[in-house]
Amino acid sequence: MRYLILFFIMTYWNLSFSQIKTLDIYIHHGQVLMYDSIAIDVTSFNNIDSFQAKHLNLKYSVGDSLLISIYNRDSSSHQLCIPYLNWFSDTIKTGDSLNSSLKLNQSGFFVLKDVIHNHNVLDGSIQVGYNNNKSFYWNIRSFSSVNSLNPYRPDYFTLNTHSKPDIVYDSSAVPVANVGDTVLIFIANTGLSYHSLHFHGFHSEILFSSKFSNHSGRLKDTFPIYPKQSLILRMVPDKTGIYPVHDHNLLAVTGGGIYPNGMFISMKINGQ
Amino acid sequence: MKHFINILLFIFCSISLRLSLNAQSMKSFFLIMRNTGEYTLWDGNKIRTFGFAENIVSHPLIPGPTIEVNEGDTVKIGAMNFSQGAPHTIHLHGLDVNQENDGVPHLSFAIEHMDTGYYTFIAKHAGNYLYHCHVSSTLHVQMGMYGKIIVKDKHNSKRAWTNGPEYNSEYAWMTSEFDTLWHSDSVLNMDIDHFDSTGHSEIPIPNYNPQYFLINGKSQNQLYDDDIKLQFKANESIYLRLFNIGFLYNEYVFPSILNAKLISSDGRPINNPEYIDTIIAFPGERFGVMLSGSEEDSGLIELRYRNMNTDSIINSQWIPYNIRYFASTTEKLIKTNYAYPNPSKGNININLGYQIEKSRLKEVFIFNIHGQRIFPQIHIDSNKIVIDLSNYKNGNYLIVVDNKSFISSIMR
Ligand SMILES: [Cu+2]
Ligand SMILES: [Cu+2]
Repeated sequence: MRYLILFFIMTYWNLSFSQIKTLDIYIHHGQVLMYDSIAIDVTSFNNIDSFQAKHLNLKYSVGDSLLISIYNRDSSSHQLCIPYLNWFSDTIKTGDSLNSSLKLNQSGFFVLKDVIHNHNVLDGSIQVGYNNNKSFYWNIRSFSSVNSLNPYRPDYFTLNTHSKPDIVYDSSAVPVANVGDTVLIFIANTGLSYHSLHFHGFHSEILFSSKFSNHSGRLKDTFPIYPKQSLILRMVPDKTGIYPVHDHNLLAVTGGGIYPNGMFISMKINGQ
Repeated sequence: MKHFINILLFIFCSISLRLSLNAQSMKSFFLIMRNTGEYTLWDGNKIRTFGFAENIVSHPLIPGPTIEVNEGDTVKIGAMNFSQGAPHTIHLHGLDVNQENDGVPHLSFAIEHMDTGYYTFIAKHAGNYLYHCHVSSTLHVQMGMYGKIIVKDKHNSKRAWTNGPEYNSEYAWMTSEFDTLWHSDSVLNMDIDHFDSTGHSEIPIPNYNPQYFLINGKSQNQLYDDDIKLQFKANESIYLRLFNIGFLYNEYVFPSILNAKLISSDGRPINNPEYIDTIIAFPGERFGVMLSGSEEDSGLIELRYRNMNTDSIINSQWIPYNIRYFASTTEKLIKTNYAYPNPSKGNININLGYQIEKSRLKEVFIFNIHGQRIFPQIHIDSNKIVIDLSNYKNGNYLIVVDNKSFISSIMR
């Protein structure tokens, strides 16, 4: 009987931690709306075969093998990559598709991005490991409504394409936790600007930094994130209350030139 | 009459700020918040500021008064708003205070004109922190509503934290920028009009094109002031505290002779301190850097201000350091009248009062207003140095000779 239980545990272990998984990614063109209804043309990649105005966020376990199919429904060529894992698809022409594979050998949180288009693509992210935690996801970036890179003067600063005030409706982003909980916050900067996120209320520990591996273990309240880089933070709140997190480049706490409609989100910490 | 009594009360409060500092573990401070500050920049330009003042009769300081306490202290900060308009708050940046004391107007409280508010917290960790207003923060911080909070070790024993690394002397540099357009009455009056009863506001924010790049509110030749210029004896160490409250990111380039070692960040020791010549501080970050030099030397530390969107270097400021084997009497800053004619049509003479060897001409540094080093023709004429700026644009230039600074303008 004991061996039978062990057998089931082992089987389950194998199933949950080392699987072959298929991943379909569809590339579509569309528009993303800012909080004030300004529409910005973007390309998005998603696992539904229609345009989704959101960043793809994938979650896997260490050891998983991905069989990836990518379908380009956009009017220009694309090439996807996860630079940290040194994975690059081939270029996919309009109307084409291709297959690729990727074995996930290390834990972390990585940016999944377009090689050809650095701008006006809703780049995604991939989480490997860290699965058994209370987790929140912030895909942060800047947008430019005038669409010029010369010079780049973004006027919207978003988390998961939202900003203050409409970010409050995104339950994957708004940290809600109890005192004493271990909370992980996965942050990917998929835009072209640098951001410096300041947390009220608590210091957090850097669990993973794609840019500076030697920053792991640092306890901070303000976290710079370079373009196309990612971080995992661990926080254990010790008091109740509502605590904001915002870009301390205070120019990014604006949207369409209006304060405070930018990169600003509030954490809600309840009693146990 | 009521106002008059209030004012007397506030003057009394401000005086009592100085008297109440001696308590062992309870430290009290009192700040005045004002909207009608006037601040003189390095080139004589005067701008309007908001900010924190030490008492009711003086202009706000840029940065505001430094709040210095010891680890374990219970700290109480009172703030009286004398703005004649906008509400203000104090956010205790990095001190992990509870919601009530956090200074976010709609989540804790805002201090209205002629009101006083109090913030209380326990300084749990030695290190470097900020305070700043969190009302319309983009605007109020740009206007000057910020200051340093330094939590020293428990025993006040010149250690970076309790039982941490020792130092001989310390400096604190807070960086920020000013865009003078934001300091105009038309921008500021917009702010005052838009508040609702909770202190929340939606306000238009202009484009940001700063012209002044500050360290402790100073720039250019003012960086030779004693609170900024690093002076130390060989084989002694300096603890340098860095605070960035600006909207650009800072890149410090330390000459390797200074042995810069990054030891703390955001009020916590770094578990794997690193020797690193380039230290980058993003908006809101603070760092502790240990410096030491074993040889006599003097030179400049470059501080670059970089754009958060384009990564381009907007400006560089050059901060002097001076390492000597024996403690020297403080060098007197030679004032601008030693550079003549000033302004000039191209040729500028620097009168040093002593002969400088020809081989040392390469130690003459000349910078334009953007902090870029330029290389004009220079020659020595008895005990003066003659610099030919005739091929350069009209404007101000910072000239550094023998670790002394001169500001010269050329005009045609
Ligand atoms: Cu204010
Ligand atoms: Cu702050």
